[in-house]
Amino acid sequence: MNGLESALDFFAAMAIFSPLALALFMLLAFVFQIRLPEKLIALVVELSVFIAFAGIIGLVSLFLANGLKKWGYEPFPTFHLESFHFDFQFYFDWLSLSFATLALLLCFVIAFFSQRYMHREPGYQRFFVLYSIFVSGIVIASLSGTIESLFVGWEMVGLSSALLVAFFHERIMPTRNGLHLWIVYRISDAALFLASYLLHHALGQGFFQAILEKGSEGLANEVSSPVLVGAGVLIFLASACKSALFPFSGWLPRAMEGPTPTSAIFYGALSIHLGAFLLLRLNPIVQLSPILAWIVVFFGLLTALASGIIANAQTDIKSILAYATLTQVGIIIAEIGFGLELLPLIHIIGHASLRTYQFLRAPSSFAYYKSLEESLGRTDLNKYLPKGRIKQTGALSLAIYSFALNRGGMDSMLEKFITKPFIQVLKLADMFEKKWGSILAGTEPSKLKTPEERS
Amino acid sequence: MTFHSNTHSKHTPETPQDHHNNKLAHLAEILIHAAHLLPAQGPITTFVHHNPLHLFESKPFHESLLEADRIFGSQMYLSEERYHAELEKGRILFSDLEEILKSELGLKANEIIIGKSTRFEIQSSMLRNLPFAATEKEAQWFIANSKRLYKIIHPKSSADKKNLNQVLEHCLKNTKNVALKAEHHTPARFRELILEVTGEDPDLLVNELLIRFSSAFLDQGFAIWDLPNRDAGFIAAFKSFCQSNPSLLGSWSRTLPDYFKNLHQEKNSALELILESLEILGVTRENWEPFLIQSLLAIRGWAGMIWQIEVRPDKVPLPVSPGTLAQFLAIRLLLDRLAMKKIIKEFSFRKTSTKDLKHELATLKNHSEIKQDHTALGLEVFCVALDLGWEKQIPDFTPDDWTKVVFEIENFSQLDQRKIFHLAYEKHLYRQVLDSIITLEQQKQTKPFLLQAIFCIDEREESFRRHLEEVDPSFETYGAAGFFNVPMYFKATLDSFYTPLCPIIIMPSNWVEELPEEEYLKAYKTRASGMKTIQMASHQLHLGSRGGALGALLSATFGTLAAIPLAMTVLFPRLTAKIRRYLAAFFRKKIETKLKLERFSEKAGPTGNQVGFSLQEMATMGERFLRDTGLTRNFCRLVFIFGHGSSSINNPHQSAYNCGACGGSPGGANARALAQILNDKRVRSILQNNGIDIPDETYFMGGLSNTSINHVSFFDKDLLPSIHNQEFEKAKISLREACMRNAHERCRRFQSAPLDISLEEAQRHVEARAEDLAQPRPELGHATNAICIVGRRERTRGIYLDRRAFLVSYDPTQDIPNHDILERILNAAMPVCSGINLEFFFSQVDPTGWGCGTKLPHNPTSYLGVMDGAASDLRTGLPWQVVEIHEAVRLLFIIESTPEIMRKILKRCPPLANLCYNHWINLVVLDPESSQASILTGKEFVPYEFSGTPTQKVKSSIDWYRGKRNHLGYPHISNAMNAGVNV
Repeated sequence: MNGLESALDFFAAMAIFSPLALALFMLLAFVFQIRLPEKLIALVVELSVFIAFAGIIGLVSLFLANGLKKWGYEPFPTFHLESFHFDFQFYFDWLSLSFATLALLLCFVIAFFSQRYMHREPGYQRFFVLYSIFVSGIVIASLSGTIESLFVGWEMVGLSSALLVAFFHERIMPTRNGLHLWIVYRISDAALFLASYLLHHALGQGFFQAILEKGSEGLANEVSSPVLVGAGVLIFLASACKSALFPFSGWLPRAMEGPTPTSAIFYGALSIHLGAFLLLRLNPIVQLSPILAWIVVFFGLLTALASGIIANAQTDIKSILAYATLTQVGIIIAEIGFGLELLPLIHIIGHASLRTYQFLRAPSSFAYYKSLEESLGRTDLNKYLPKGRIKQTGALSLAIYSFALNRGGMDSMLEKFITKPFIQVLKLADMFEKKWGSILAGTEPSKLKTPEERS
Repeated sequence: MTFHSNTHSKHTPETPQDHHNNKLAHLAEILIHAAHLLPAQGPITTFVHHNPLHLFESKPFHESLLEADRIFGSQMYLSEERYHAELEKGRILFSDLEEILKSELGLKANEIIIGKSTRFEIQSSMLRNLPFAATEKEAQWFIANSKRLYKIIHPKSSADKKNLNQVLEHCLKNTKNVALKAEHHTPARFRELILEVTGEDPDLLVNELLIRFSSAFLDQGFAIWDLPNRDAGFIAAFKSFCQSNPSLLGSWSRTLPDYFKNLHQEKNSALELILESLEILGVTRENWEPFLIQSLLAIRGWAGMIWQIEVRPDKVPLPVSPGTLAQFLAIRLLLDRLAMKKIIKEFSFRKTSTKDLKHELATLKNHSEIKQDHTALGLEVFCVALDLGWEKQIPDFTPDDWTKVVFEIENFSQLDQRKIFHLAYEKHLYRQVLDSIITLEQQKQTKPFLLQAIFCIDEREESFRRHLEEVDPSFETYGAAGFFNVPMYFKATLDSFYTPLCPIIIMPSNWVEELPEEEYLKAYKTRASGMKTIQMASHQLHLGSRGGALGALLSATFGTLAAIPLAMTVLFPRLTAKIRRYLAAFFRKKIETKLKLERFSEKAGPTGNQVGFSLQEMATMGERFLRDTGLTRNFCRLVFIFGHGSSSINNPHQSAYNCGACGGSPGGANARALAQILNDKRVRSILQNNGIDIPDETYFMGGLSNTSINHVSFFDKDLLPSIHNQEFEKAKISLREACMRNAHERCRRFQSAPLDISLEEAQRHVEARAEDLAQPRPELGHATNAICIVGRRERTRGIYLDRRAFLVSYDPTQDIPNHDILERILNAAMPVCSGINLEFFFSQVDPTGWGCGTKLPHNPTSYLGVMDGAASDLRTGLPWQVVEIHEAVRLLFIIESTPEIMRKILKRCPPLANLCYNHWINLVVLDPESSQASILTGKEFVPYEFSGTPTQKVKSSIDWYRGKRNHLGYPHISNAMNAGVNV
């Protein structure tokens, strides 16, 4: 192993293990109910995110200095059974490095923001436990070199997102909306899991490197395409759920329950783009089938169009920003569907930075509108601004407006077709478990009367 | 606020039509009453503090709290746990508790209940016992884990466990037998019933749709599209919203379009719809009022905002028409019906038609079982029994004894106990303050004052004044309501419209404009148009970034650049603010301005010659101001007048930190205007004729004190006569030093500022707070306010009041014939200060019920207020971050006057009498000629007796507070007392 390689490995280890160590430390302290002082928490979080960021910067500079294009890093020996392998491997190329740089930069800034914003909040420690799980998740997901290690990061991001939406659990809406988010994320997880199974089945492995090197054509020559197309569809489904594409958009405005900085980083910047990142990562598989590629474009544009319309009728800053975000995510997805690579990446980075800033400044919106109003005047304001220019009266514009205010009905659709059946299945399972449990334990299932019996 | 229907009393035969109209009239009456119960907070950009229970002020405080408890379901006092913690800390004294208990019980205190135990003993034992099992479940847990139980209650006697268990058993069993069947408080709405029986909450369905629609209906400019048919009213707009795209509604509300289609034209009015819902739900007429009140309170923030906009359409750009609240309620009830129907249908697997809803609800009632086994009460009886040593006798108690004992204990309810705690909590604080004030030695003024400064009465200026007096004892300070008796609509140079700068109850009748000086006119014009262009462009850009195509272009090209301000503002807030200021100063040349204060036309108005005051008006305002504050003689050569404001960023509640007497705006313009008025030679000659002689060499200077960053700035410095330069420079140094010390004193309350912080660091710390995007506590606002002192400064000068006292200057010796001055002062100060105090009181007592909860998930909505997260009720009241360190005590008004005069004034002003006699504030009069104080107790003034604890003496404020974060006492500061002596 020469000097360059060990330097690369060293930086890679910094980037990956620093957040992991942080998450482990925070989790252990939390599990053993050790109350850490605010200052200590802030220090370790900032320090480890900074170390990870420095690692990434080190990697980027080595890449630039040596003209490297890619680098694989395998911290552990691969886990192989006869027909099963779990490869925990990391892969650095222009895509994963830029996404990880963005992610860690934003994580660092938001950690800094949150340590002051969350000051004296009773859930301070819990917040940073979840936050550090999120940081490790996003780092693993963006740097992973195999679909199975990506899955691990993907799960961590999903879990911490859902729990942070439900952060203020003394009220019912955050927990309810956190549950919604979690259920949609489960679908996404299931799809990703199946996709990874199919990929392994078709290729015998889940290395991105192999997929990327072969490209669409190489893949098409090598393996039967129906399986790969199936995997492609599943991957698209996974990212559609994660990126809140039409018709899964219903959960996005509901996710604005957590503290403002988490809304900013999750739904303005990182979580929401993770689906797009996955598609970008596995674009050769998507591009394998022109029909699938067109479907991706179609849903991307449909999402952009629908949320572009919906955004116009929203009256609270966080929903306005949520749909503004979604519009761009739709466009990014469409760009990916067209087979572009550099443009969607630039678009993701620019959009994430911009939106995070706007989300963080959401509480300023009163001051912003007031200064606008003061310098332009109330009557002038109405004259200058789009509002007031559009007076909907016709049946069509009415229909469009109510589509927008109803958020395209996606919310009730999501509830009707996905979350409610899901919860009902859980309830049913719970009921059976109780029944069987009590039968086995020999006690009367007295509490299990149906409503009819009770009356 | 009793729930009686008070209409039909006539016995003349009614036609059905009459009967119907009668019902509608009754409904309308109920609605008006219900509307007054809703939160009275207007748009958040002009936040005005007010008592959330303003409507109850005509009734005694504690009585109102009991009544409000039933209506609002929010906490009224602090929790028992909290009071016990304060007892532990010594903030509440047990001796005070017993004393208050005795006086509350009066003659009934010594009545023997059982054995040798009196009522007083039982009740004081209950106050002593820790509240460890408030609910039945907790009590059951403790009984199942009796080891834990005995660990907590420490039985006095050495009775063995077995014996104890027997006593416990006795108590539980007998309590269960004799306890009153506590009147089951049936909820007025059906929602609670449905939730209890089915586990589904109809409000979750209804609120989501209703909140979304209401926020669109009320939106003042956040959304890009207007709600179609908004002008046609709430019902009409909702109807067209439902009908235009029915497939998008949730399945429970899918029948709405059909319902509206079949609705009779003449049944379309809001009241008719409400009546229809009441009939369908089977609400009997005597239940109408509580039912409708609770239905409105379900999302009280939104309902309240509708009412506020309805009655004060001048406060918003897009008002709503009268009757909107009724329409809102009509829709609410309609949706309630649908949601309930849906849930019942799913629950019972039966088909339900609307007609049967009444019937269904009635059958549902059979499902609801109310279990009461009085375990918690039994446990309480047990604790008292142990505490009073009844173990031995208990087996011999007769059923009659048990009835008596349990009745006694049950009747001293948790709310009653908390009331006693609350009174003791207040008493301790009041005593400390009063002791300090009556023992303050009258200071001999040896040298005349050299400088004078007038501040707002705001309690945040108390520390500023005190430090100023410590820094430079030749400073004399005054306090007056921060609009300085210059009520006006004001327009700054770059503003487009006028803002009222006066207390919310006053409607100004004059307009004042700030204009650029002649030589800056050109620069101003370029700036004004430049500003407009920049604002427009940046707004278009902002909107663009939210849109599709332009958004894509912007985010893909320049988006990454946003990372720079993002990282800079978060990581280096101070540096960023500095750079921003530097850039602003670089691009903007300073423009000197003046106030257009004098009007030459007859009529006052907002344009042209109508802007301003007439000379006579100016003289009248100036004279009244001087007479009110008592500054009518001994004018110094330089008199400062400081308005105040507060700067912070990323703070939806910013307006709450500004001057309350200026309607939630900074009060600099008022200070500037008053200074200009009093400097006017012609005004002075009018004043001279009226007996106020302002010497020619006296100069008034307006300024603005920023309470968040502790800076002062001055207006019209260029007009200062050069003979005053030397004094001005000297005063500036003192003011700057006082600002720094003030910042330092504030820092002791901020956990993130170290206790050993230096003066300079403290100044930087408070500045950094105001410039920090991530700071939810730029300042703590009026938190900890507890006292209001109306009198001469010499009665309080030299007392460390810990930023807790509003200080109003008033000289009783100059207010001889009718006490008009005091009446005027109190008419403004009492409602304003008590409004602030009671808003903090309730927001601290129940931060999520009366306050708006934690700031962290707040979501600005409709340009009107904030929601919690994605969709919630509009949150009114104060955020937890602001009230966190507040102590929930009623304001202690200390007025330098006599009981006779106070009684006369209260007789003349019924609203003030309500506040005082009903004890929404606590009133003390301080004799102008002696140190005798009298407390208004009930309806009588009772002389206050010095408690005997001498007040501490310290050299300076900093010696006292340094190193401490908690609430402190009120010692005498010797440095500030050498009045008029230059050290």
